[in-house]
Amino acid sequence: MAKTEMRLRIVIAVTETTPVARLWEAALRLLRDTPAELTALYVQDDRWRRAASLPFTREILRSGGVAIEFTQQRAEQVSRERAARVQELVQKLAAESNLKAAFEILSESDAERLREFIGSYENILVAPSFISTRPIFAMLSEMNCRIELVEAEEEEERPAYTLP
Amino acid sequence: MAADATQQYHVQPDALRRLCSLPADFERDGAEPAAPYIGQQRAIDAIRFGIDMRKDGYNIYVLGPIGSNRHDLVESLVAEQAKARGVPPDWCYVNNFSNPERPQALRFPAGKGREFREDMRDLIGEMQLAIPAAFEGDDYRNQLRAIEEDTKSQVEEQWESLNERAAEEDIGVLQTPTGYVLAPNIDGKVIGDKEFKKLPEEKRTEIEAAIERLSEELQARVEMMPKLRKAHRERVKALNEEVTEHAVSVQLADLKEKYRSMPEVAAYLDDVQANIIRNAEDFQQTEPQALPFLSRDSEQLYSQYEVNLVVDNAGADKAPVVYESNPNYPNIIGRIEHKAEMGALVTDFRLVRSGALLQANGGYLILDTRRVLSRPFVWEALKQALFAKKVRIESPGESLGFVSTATLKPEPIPIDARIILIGERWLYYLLCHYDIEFGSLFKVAADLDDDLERSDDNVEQYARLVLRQAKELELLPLNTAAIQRVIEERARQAEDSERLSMHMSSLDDLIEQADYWARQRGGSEVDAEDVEKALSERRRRFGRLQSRIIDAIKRGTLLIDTSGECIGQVNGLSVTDLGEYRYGHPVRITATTRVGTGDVVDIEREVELGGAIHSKGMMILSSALSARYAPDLPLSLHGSVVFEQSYGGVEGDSASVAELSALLSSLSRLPIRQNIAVTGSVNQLGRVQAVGGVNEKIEGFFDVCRERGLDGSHGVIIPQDNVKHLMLREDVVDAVRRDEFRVFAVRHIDEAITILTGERAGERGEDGNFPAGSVNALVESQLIEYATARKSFAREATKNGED
Repeated sequence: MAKTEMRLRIVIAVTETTPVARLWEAALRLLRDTPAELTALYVQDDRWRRAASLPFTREILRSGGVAIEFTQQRAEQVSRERAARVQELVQKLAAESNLKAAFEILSESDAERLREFIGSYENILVAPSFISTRPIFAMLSEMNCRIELVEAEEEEERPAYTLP
Repeated sequence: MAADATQQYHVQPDALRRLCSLPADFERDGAEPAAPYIGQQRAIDAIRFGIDMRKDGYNIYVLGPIGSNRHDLVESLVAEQAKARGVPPDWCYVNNFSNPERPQALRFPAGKGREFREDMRDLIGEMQLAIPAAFEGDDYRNQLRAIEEDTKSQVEEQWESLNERAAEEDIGVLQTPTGYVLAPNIDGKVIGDKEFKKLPEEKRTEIEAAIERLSEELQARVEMMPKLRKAHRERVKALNEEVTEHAVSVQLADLKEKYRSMPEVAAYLDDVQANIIRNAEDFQQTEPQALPFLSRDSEQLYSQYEVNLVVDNAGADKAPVVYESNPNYPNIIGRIEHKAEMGALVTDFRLVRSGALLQANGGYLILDTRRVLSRPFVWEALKQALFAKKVRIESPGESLGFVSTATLKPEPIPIDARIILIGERWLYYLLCHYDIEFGSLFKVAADLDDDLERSDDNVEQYARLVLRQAKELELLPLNTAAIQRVIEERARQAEDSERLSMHMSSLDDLIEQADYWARQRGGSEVDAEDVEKALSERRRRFGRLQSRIIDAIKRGTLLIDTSGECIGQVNGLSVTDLGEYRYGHPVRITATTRVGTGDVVDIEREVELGGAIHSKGMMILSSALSARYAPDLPLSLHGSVVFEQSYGGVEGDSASVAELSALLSSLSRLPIRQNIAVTGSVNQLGRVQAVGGVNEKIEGFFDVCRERGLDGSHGVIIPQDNVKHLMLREDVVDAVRRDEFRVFAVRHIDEAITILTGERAGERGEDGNFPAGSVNALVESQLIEYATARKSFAREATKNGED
């Protein structure tokens, strides 16, 4: 039986707090030597859903400090907005580099879908170093991915108040 | 009729035209030039009084016809006084920073307004450089950065301290796009409901309590953020103001020092400084805005400090004398202009424009009354400004309260201008009659004389005036004969051999036209023949209608007899005025009489072709009849009088002698000579009174008779009082001199009827009767007959029971 040749793919693993630009640079360096498809894998943080599952969590609004119930629906909305923000950034970087990049969103706890995603490709995973502490890193390691860790710290969530 | 019966009424040829004879020593070349306005001393004194009088309301109305050189007279007199009055101040409009809709008026000594405008332009130029430079400087940037860092650290401190507190209690602070969520965070991971339930009861209680507590803290800090932001803004604003003040203070200090003696200007400069500082942040915008029309651009920003110089007397050495030839509302009061911006009309203090009232402030404003009155709203606005002693620049719609759109209301400017209205007399009297405010605003009437007494001294002055005008108009010089001929014509123009017309434009026209004909013949000076040629050519140019009338008479279309006799028919004389030219021509007047109730019907009045004065003349002659004849009997006459073949209006009473003569002829059954025409009005006592247009009337009949051939029988009867007005054409005078034509002058209707019928009129004798066979006896006899017949008819009617 002839061996099927697998397509090469560079996967940039990004999260809400990933310094996307740094990972993107690392991916570009890899692409120079190795022609491959490019995909940004957004690892969705489940903390919003978890927080929303608690009956006593409230969202305190920035405008006026009013507290409202933090529901699952609201958690989904926040999560989607975060993903959209990262996707927009990836698309911008791709356009600047004159490249095309697919964007995939996966929940970090959804091992089944992660396996499907990794499945038919030979993947080089470009990921921030801090991801090594996350459970998903162990999962990816098991899935025979080549992982290139980029030294990076989580981007701190700054206070959303800006100066006038 | 015996020749000697009318001889006494003949006007001698010398009296038909008073010739001008300049003194033998009249020096045409070396003569002193005449004062330009001879004979107008009364008007000149009035104007001088008005322009010199410093009290309110002594504005001047100059009464005089168009062409009387009234403008030149006023302007020359005002120019004299303007030098003495001194140069009035300049006026500027500047932005009113506290209320931009009410631009502020600033007064400056003459010339200083322009200087101030330039100073402010310089200031703006310097500000445009200095302010952005100050904001781009390192000092400013460092200070701004320090403030920003400080604020930022305050914000972060709030956030971090909360984060730390939360972490200590296993709580994570998550940021959503719109706020914050506090959730349990165990070992760096936000836990959900399942994990939470697995925690010991005590821990769960602790976490819930911590979240509750931290939520309150978080809310307190959230509420604090706007305060931090506001404090930051205020610090930045204070910094900007400080920087701006520093940038402009040097330039403004110089200006304030310069204008220290003008408190209002100094106060304005304080306002400028305060405004610049207050709006310091606006001056930072160096980069173009994404939507520039939504924000003030730099031109708008700096233009608010510009100066709108509305009255500029820089360089003037006397008070202003302004003549506004088009006195519409904006030209007199001023206007607020608008410019289109993004489809809307916008304005500001820079678009306020002064009118003639402000331009003439401190001086004199000359206006044509007719034009002022014919332009909408001007008269009322002018009076309002004079009463208020200030000019309020606003649109007429706003002034009348018709417009409610928000617009500028510039601060009114006080005025001290003498207004000089120039207009015709009838307008003056109309204003006096119908405008009760007119008298208190125009207290001085300067009434220009239409003519001048023809004294020897005045004739000489007039001759010099003619020479002066010729020189001014750059015409060929007039020789003495030409001047004399011009003066004679000026007497004719005045319709009085003893006066000279002061209508200057018609004098100019005459000498210009004489100059033309002199040049046409290659002459080096204007001669009397050139003047005569100018007059005859003028007559010819205007004479189409006149020649058509003569032609109609010649062809028998217009029935005028110039020979023979006819009962109840007389040649009256009419004048047609074409404005620039007028001419006379004969008109047939007929009268019929019968028994009646004492009324004389004026057919012209019955068909509404007769004017009021003509009707009055008819009533007077009717009254003259009843008073004069058969005074003890009721006037039992029905008479009717008509202008035959007259299809236009008839006005004036100058035909009343002719009309009465026709009636007397009809009553006496004595025929009237058709080779004689009559003009003159009559009073109730039969006295013949002077009328107008006597020269044209005589010439009109003369022209018709000459066409048919003069035989010495033709003539015109005029009132004795009109003899002094005679300035007939030379050809008429020559005909009289050759006994081919006559002019009769009469004082009483009896004299006229004597000439017309060839029969003596007759005076009532001691017995109370007119001499038998006289005209008056025949008239009276006829009237008695009518009265008797009427009485008889009345008796019959009474007997038959009729009314």
